[in-house]
Amino acid sequence: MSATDITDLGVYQVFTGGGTGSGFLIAPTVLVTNCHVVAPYRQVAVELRDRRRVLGTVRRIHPQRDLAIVELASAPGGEILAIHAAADLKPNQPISIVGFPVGLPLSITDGVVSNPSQLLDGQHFVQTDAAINPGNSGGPMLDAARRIVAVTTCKLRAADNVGFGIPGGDAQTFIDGFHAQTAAFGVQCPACDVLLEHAERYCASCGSDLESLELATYFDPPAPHPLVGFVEDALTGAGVDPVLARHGAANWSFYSGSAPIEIWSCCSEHLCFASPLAKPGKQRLGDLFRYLLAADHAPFAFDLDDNVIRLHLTLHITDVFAHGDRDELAGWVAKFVASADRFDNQLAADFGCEPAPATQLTFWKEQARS
Amino acid sequence: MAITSLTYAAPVRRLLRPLNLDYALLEAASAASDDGQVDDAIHKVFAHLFPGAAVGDLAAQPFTFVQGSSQVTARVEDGQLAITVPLVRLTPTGNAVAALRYALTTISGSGQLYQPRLRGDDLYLEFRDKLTRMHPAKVLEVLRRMPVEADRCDDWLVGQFGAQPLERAEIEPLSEDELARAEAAWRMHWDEVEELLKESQRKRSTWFLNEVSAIALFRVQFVLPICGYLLARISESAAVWNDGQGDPAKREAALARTAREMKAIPSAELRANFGHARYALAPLAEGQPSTLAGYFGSGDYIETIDKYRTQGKSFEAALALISSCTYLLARYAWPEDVAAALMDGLAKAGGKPWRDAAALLWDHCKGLVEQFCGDATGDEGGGEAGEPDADDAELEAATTDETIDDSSRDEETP
Repeated sequence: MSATDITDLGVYQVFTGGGTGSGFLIAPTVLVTNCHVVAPYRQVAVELRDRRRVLGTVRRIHPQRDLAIVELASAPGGEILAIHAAADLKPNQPISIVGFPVGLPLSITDGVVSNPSQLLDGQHFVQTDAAINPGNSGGPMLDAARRIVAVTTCKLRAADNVGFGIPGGDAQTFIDGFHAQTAAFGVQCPACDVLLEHAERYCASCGSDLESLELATYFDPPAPHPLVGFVEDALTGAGVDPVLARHGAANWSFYSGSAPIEIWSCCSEHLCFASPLAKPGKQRLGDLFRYLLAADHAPFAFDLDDNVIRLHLTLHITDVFAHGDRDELAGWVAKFVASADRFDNQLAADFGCEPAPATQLTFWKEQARS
Repeated sequence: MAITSLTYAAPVRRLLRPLNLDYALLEAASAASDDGQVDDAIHKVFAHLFPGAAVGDLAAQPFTFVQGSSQVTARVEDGQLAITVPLVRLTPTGNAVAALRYALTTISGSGQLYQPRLRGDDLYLEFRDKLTRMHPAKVLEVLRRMPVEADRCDDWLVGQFGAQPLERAEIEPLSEDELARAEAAWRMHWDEVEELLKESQRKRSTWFLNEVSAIALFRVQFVLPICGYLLARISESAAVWNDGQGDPAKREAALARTAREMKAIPSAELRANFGHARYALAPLAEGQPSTLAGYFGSGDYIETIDKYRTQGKSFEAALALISSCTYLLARYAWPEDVAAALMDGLAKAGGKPWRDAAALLWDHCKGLVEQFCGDATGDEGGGEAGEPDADDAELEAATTDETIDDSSRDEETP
């Protein structure tokens, strides 16, 4: 498959407050991924090729078989690949894994089927030697005819090139169950596969003790850490949907107009906000640097990170717990979000700065031209 | 002719002693903060960090202290705690653009509560925030880190970019005798480093190179009261040659360049970089029994030295023991008896052939553990990593906890 081929595939990156993974379309607004990619979140973000994100609602999960279905708020486009449920895979058969390893843009890795039906922990998997990395979870494993023969799920940590996928037949059974589903959300019983619509102690169908399987978490996700609560409340106040901004544990990334914004907790002490805005131009650098270091930007500051001008703000973790000042700090966050969008234009206009790499400024300018 | 021994130079630098900070005060500060007694909490943090100093009402009387070349002022104004350190004044004759770029690239950064701020031509390092948000942990972090960072940067800005010192703290000059001893130690040090480097190139051993580069850096820090631009210059180049993970050929080339550069420094310039600086905050970590035990008690490192010592590689063993003692003296503040014992070992090994030095220091360092470590177990050590067993293999979900971008976000905190 060429690079162009994979760009057009309906394979997208999934973002939650726990991490990122991959997923593939089975219908214009329905995406399949792994349960461990989305759980325990009921709402996730799915990023499009132009880095805009759409909201996804988790409709069905199967914790045991590690599958999930997410319904998207709008159709992202892209080729919907067929699932080859009856794939009769053979050892050494070529296989391709498509997804977003370690958060990189859409990538493909090739390998072969090492074992078409490897038994692990009581379940059968397609074993492959194709490279699987964090972020690949939930993406498709394709055969040479571009059919989905498995859903990438995990690898052996202490071994090289031993990765696993959920067989296409199991994925198709799971999808068929979703098509018949009327409930807004359901969890399949790990023991008997029946769909549970509420948290129950015992499965009404097979009698399994669901509490010991910790199924309640999927129905009633744990409250977020106060730090996460603070950031997401502040983002909401700034007009940013926190679900769309989530980028892993205590990490957020989104655009404020043309300015990319990243928020993260770098250690146990700090909550950091940064926005890579622009690259210095060739002229008036003294004036630019003086402007960036001017004392009146406080509490914000600028720095040069790989020659990219960043606006940044650091809060101490204890600030988040200073309840009397929460509103004021949320105001700082809102001001930061608004300032970042203003500064990148101002730096270009006043000091001849150039757009920073990987911002949407270039993308949007190209759009405007066309 | 190959180098047959290392010279011991007694420190010209005044050794720092542990400050014996009162940690009960820190706990009391946290309790006061929890009770909403912000002023009391801040006062207790200052009392903890500056034992014996008179810290009054910061709103009425700013508290000023010296950290190397930096003068730090803490005051309360407009309901905020403001802590500032003047760095430098930019001049038309210096390279102001480069100085500003340095401030933006190296001094400013996310993950720190203080930032460089420019007022006119004067560059400051500043922290300012509301008293109501002044948790002791926050005050402590700023007071511990900001002055050290300012002390590190101001000389560099002056030396590299021609900026003017701004309200620089006075540094006590060395006596003529001290200057002579310091200069002699400096010249001897870099001569010996060059000889050691030749040995390293012959041996082609990363382990040996690590010991040579450690001696090159830490003997300067242990022996000499360097307080100016020169120390920053050495630290900058040491980031290459003292990087144990770096390419050995590049490290050797960088160390050779540094040695040449340092040997060529004229006497007057060298002497201008010596002085007895004062430090209100301990610039070194407090040496603990477990620190000593970590090096000389048990573990991979001391076992490797023992292997060299008993298998006819006395040079390697002696060099490692000398570099370890030197490192411990350069990077930690020790009680007087421990510091004296460490120096005594180095003095005895000084000028001795490698075999004698290795035997003597081995016994001496083992004696240190017996004398000072009691039941302390080392900070370091551990067995060889075994081959992974297929039965122990764990399944790893292929989802990210964080993206690739996050690796660059990790903020190094001292």
